[in-house]
Amino acid sequence: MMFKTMLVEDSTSFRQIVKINLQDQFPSMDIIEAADGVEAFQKIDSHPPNLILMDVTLPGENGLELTKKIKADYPGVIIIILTSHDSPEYREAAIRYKANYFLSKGSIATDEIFKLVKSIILEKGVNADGSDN
Amino acid sequence: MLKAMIVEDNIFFREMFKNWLLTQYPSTEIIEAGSGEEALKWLGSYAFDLVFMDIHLPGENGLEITRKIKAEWQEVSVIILSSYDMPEYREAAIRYGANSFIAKDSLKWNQISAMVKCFQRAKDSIGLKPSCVRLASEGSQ
Repeated sequence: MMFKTMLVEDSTSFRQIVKINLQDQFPSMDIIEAADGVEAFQKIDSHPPNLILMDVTLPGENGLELTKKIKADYPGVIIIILTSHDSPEYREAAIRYKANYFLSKGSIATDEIFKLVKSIILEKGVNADGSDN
Repeated sequence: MLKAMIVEDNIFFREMFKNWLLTQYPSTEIIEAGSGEEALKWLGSYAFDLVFMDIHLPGENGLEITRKIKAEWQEVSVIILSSYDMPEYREAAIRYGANSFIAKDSLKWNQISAMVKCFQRAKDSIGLKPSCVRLASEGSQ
């Protein structure tokens, strides 16, 4: 099984640079992009990902609400909330809605994210570059 | 060797941007600054070709910092990368001498890539810089 990651982020430039970086680190990873909740759900329903990197501020439903819905339908998918606004309310909501991780874009180093993603990939029993075993 | 600086307080974006630039152009030297104050310190010690400047920064904003850079180091090209595409920001960017203004939302990475390549070539042949920057501005329209 190829490891599949979805980026839910409305900023195109941000989404693309994250995709380029992840692809560079994990060449075999399948990376899907969504700019909002509607697009995310369409793509999740047809190809459920293993991991979602979720922005909070999105047009329409926010990333926390989306997390709640996704976790109800797909409890096995790992969700990392990646937000520019690190507030206690967001953190509490992230926990309540069963997000697996909550990271602040302002203070997280990229190599920490890569390490985290790598550990999630390995837990899923996929090779570290995202390819099949 | 092309020397560039990324002035951006969002570590995640800054590092992702730097990583990507280095994959594309491994010989480029890239310095990171989290604030304008830090950026000015670097500029005081080293000669830079290119500065990518965010607007919202702790302390003085990127537009003010651009004005200061251009007052002292005219030869440094400053590319404003803004999360907010507002006419006031664009006007201030021009007034303060920025070479280009790119809204992050309409930013195309291949155009940044083409621009960096152009700057790298310009290191050897004087007079190419204006066209490098035009390339970036057109890319953002």
